[in-house]
Amino acid sequence: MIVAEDQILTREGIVRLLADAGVDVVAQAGDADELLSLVARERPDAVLVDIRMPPTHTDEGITAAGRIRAGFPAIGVVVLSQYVEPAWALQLIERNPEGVGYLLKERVVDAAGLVDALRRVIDGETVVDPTIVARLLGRKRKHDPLADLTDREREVLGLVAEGLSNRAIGARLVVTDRTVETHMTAIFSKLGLEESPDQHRRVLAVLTLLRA
Amino acid sequence: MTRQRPEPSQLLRLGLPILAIACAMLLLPVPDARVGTKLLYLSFGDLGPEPAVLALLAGRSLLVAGIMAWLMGPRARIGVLAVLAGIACHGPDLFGPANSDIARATGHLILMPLLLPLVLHLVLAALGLDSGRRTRVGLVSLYAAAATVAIVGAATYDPFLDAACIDCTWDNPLLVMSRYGLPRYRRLAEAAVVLVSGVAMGITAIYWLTGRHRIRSPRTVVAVAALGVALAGGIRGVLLVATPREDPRGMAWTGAWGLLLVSVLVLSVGFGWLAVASWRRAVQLREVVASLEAAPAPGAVGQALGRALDDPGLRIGYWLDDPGRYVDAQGAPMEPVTGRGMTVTPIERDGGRLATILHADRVDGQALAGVFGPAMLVAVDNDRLRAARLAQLEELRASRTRIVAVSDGERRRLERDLHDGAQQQLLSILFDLRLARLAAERSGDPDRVDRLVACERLAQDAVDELRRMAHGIHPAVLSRSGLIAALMSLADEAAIPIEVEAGAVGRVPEAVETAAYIAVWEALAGAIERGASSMSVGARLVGDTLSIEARDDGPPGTSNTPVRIADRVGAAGGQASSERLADGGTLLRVELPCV
Repeated sequence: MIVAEDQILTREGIVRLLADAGVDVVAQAGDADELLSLVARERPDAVLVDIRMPPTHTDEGITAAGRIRAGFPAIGVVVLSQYVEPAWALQLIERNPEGVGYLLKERVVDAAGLVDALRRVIDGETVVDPTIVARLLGRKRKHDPLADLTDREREVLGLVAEGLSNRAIGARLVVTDRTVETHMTAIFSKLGLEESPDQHRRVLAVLTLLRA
Repeated sequence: MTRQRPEPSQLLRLGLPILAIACAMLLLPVPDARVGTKLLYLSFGDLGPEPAVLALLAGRSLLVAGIMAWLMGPRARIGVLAVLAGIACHGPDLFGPANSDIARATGHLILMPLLLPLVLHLVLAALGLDSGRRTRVGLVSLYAAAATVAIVGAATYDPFLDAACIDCTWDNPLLVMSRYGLPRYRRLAEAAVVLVSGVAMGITAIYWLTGRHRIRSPRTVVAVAALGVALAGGIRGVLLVATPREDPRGMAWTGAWGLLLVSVLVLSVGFGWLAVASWRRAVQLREVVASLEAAPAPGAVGQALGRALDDPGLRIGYWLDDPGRYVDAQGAPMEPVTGRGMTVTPIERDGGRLATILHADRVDGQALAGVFGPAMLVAVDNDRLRAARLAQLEELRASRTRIVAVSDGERRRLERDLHDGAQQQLLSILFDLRLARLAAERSGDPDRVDRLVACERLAQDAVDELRRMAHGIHPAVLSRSGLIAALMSLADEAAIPIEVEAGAVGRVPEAVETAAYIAVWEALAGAIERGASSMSVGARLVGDTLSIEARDDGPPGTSNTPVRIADRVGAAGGQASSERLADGGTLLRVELPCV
């Protein structure tokens, strides 16, 4: 995979942690243009990109993610961010419904979790940082689009947003896969998403959560 | 010049002089021009029909110009002077029928010494040079001398004893003392008065003509005429002393008379022109003053002058000493400079710079400056003070906006520094700690692992804290994604539920977004302080105005939150108001211009 981060110190830390977890980092980039040419040349499985890069140090990472996903649909992209900001996670996923993730930078220290997230974006799923999911679920809205969901269903929706598969959710909640599927059906129904294909429905459910 | 309809009083003022001219022409006696039938040649007019017509025209035109000036104003005194000079000029022809030689001769005797002092006074007044103390003393002395010559001379002049006048064989009805030699003294005294007046007039005329004055102006005509009168007076004065006999038919005497009469005619034309010009300016001034009384709005003086002079481009620049520059009536800086068809004319008050008028080249700057009497200067000074206040207000407002913009910029910079500097370093520490922990786990050192785990937790807490701080200083999402995204983010973190109802706001100027965000942030803090349990925020764009409404269900409190919001919103040129709702809640309304 390729790591793009303009701060060398941080980048080196990330690369060492990934190497330690057994991930093969084939190249490193300092800005978006360098990243895109490296992607074209190396064709990695996944890319880890900092949200803030030159020149404006705002959301170049999101733009780069979009260009990589558009040019190479097989490559999964995880955007690393300092911001607990659902607006930017929403922006990323709205533009790229599949194969992207929005993680906080400190998530890198949890090598197993990071590798898991990378695998899922390579598989075309979407991943949202657990801290942001927790914030989304904690939202206090007067007119809450998630108001019809039970506490358990909200929990399941949160885990879907984090990018967990039904099997992983079942393992996390210590319930059977069937129970998870029942919850999913109820969630899709309450959010009015019965008519779409399954993979698409999961992303729509996550977007509903992000927009709430 | 002015397109406005003249008022009735103006028509009256024009009509009266015309009436007076008609009366003067009809009622005054016409000189008798029967050549050769005269027993007594007393004046130039007695020499023939052409000289008679010239004498008639000269004297009578001065009378007419004087009456015009007298009736039209604004300086009626000069008109009276001109009338008196006109009477003196007519001299012998004014008194009695043409064949009454005794009356004509007596009038001549009395009036001739007075003619030149009167003309001198008139010229000085017309040129505006009669106000000096020394000039006034000189004039009074000259009048006194002339009057003495006229009265004492008339009482002691016995025509039969005048050696210089062979024709003088008439009985002087005013004679009191008849003694040989007295007529000669009278003649010499009259010569002195004529010479002094002539020299003074000549100096005055040359002083004016060599000064920097416009050539095409009535005063220049007056000055040229004065030069002619001075020359004629000088010749006559010298003749009175030098020649043994007074001979109206002689070349020198005739030439002096002719020059005098032609000069007086020119003087009358110049003086009449001056009277009409003064009257027109006075009318303009009255229009200006009248419009000032009706509408004393800022800039009224400039507008009124522009209308009166038919110069829509006319502007008044008011001088401000403190920043040392000109501003317009609204306090906006302006630079009045001559060029591109425009000319500047400065206006002073008590020697100090007050204002400057930027006007079209065709408008006579001197005449314009002359319009500014005491009342106008007070009005201009009032406008100047008002403009100064407006300029200060604008300066204060701009300075407040600048201060806030600088502080906003600092906050953005601080937020970026925290993210790019401190937080990155903390993250590096966090990564290194994890690597060290993994190494310790592999080497089987549980104590070290525990210590490193504790360190990791501290570092993570520090990352979280720093993130919260940076967000509080300036939310990055505000700069990048705009007000609505930032308000959503604010709602996510808030301790009470916030409903954000956003219209199509889009992106508005950064200063406006920041002011609006901080206003809602302050409103939220205030609502929590007052014990509110929920809040709703509405944002919409109405024309060029961003309108924010924040409602909460807490009772209005006594905190100074509204003041802080009003300050912050005011710096962005907006307005904030707070009111208690019928259901017991509080509504904050903020309006910000997005220009």
